[in-house]
Amino acid sequence: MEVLASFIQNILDLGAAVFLPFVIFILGVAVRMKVGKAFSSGLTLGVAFVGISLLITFIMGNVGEAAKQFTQNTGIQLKALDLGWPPALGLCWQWKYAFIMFPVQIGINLIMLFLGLTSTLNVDMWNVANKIFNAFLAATVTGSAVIGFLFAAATIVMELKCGDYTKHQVRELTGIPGISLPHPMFISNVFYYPLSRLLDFILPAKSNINATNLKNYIGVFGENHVMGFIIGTLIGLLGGYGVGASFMLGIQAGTALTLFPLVSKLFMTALTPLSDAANTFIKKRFPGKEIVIGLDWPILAGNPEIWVTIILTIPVALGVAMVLPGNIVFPFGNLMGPSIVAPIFLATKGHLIKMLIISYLTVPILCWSASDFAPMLSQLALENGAQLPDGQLMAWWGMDISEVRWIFVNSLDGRTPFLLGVALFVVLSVFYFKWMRKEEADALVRMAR
Amino acid sequence: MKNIIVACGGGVATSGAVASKINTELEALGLSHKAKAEAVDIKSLELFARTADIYVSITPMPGANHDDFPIPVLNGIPFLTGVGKDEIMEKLVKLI
Repeated sequence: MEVLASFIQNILDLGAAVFLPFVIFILGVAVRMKVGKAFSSGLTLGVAFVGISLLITFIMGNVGEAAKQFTQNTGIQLKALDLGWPPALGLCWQWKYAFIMFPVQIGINLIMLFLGLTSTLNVDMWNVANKIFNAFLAATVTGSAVIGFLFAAATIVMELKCGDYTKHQVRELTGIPGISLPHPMFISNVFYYPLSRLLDFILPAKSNINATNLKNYIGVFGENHVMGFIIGTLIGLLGGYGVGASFMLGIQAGTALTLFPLVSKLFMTALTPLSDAANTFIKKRFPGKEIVIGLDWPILAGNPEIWVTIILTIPVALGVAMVLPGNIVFPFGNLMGPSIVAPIFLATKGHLIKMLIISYLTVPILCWSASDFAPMLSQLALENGAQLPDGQLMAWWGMDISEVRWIFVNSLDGRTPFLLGVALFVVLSVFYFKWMRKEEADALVRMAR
Repeated sequence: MKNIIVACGGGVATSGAVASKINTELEALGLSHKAKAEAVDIKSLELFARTADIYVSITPMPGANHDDFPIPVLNGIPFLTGVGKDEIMEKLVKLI
């Protein structure tokens, strides 16, 4: 027994890039993958970890260094560079209890289905990572993994309910029957939907613009390498680099933003056999029951309003980040992230003007929440072997449910003013589900016409 | 070798899952040497469409038509929900 314990401890000490492939291999064989394929899957995960560290070190070494120069030149304290969701959601798999989140999510979902508390069967196993991230944050500030899992469990219940209560509206928007969107990002609509209703009073009734044409003009800025180049060059110029060196920095930034998703894809490739096995497991237990399939957000990604809003938020985000007191994050890698705008799209039913206003209003909270969580995220990156320049941090700006994570995690951290936010969230939730019941009924009526 | 692309918001999670499902199906049909699916970022879709042969869309919009898209477009939602997957696979195989 002791030999086994020390053997396991030795493997754990080797770091996530070595021991998690073991975990995937063993789990893969357990769900009856062929040994060779399970081995390949496991190694893919190791490659993903090393790849993501490599990119973090690369981007922090050039763009991070320039951002540091910028800080020294101007006195504007933005010492944390936003690297977007790929490193954050990738790295959180190395949290000690990460893999337990699979059975937790599936278990809660099945129990709620059996008890008739939800009609959604969530088959989106990728976003287990978002719940792991929640648990990691809560566990880090409280020092208790149990509290971490309780926070994650509450998120799972809430996202299923939010999926249930918007499924007809989603069908109306996408034309796909039998699905819902139980992604945690849509929990934010507890805040965004009332804002959207409030804007109805302020804005004239016919005040929308067509996003399709607009997207044809500005869509090119949304491409990862183009956006990376522009922001990278900008950071270089602000950092006092010469024009040529700034262009080089722009290309490097474009390279990093193009490669991040490619490396993240490796996490997906490694985890797909497991998520397939999990899905077969749960689907077998629900033959013929009246259920909707819970999917990830990208079924909304064809709507140009989402990309137009994201692109038009970027200058505001950069401007606010420079002057906002308490912000230490330079928004960069996640400027094109959909985590905030996709739920706003649903809350406003794609009303572009309202989407822009709500998106602008969220910017300060995106900055503060990313600032608060940057040290925890940087610690995770360092543990995975990435290198950060002295005094620099990495951050995830514009993360999913930024405001929810911000108020709950800070409350758990003992910062009592944030309890007001929690109270507001609870009260608004009650109203939100009431409003959604009406919206769902209206959507059904419109579709029946 | 036909190049099939699947696009989503980041070219990672949803599109990656669908691409891997298509590849598994192709392998089961013994067609893995004739076609391969790949996940791409929808923001750069036009760039990828230039070198691809078939586009499997998982970002439907009611009323949208794909007649002016340079390559054939198939509805990939069945790969996510499981409903109607065989029909769409048949269509895909015909294009290969």
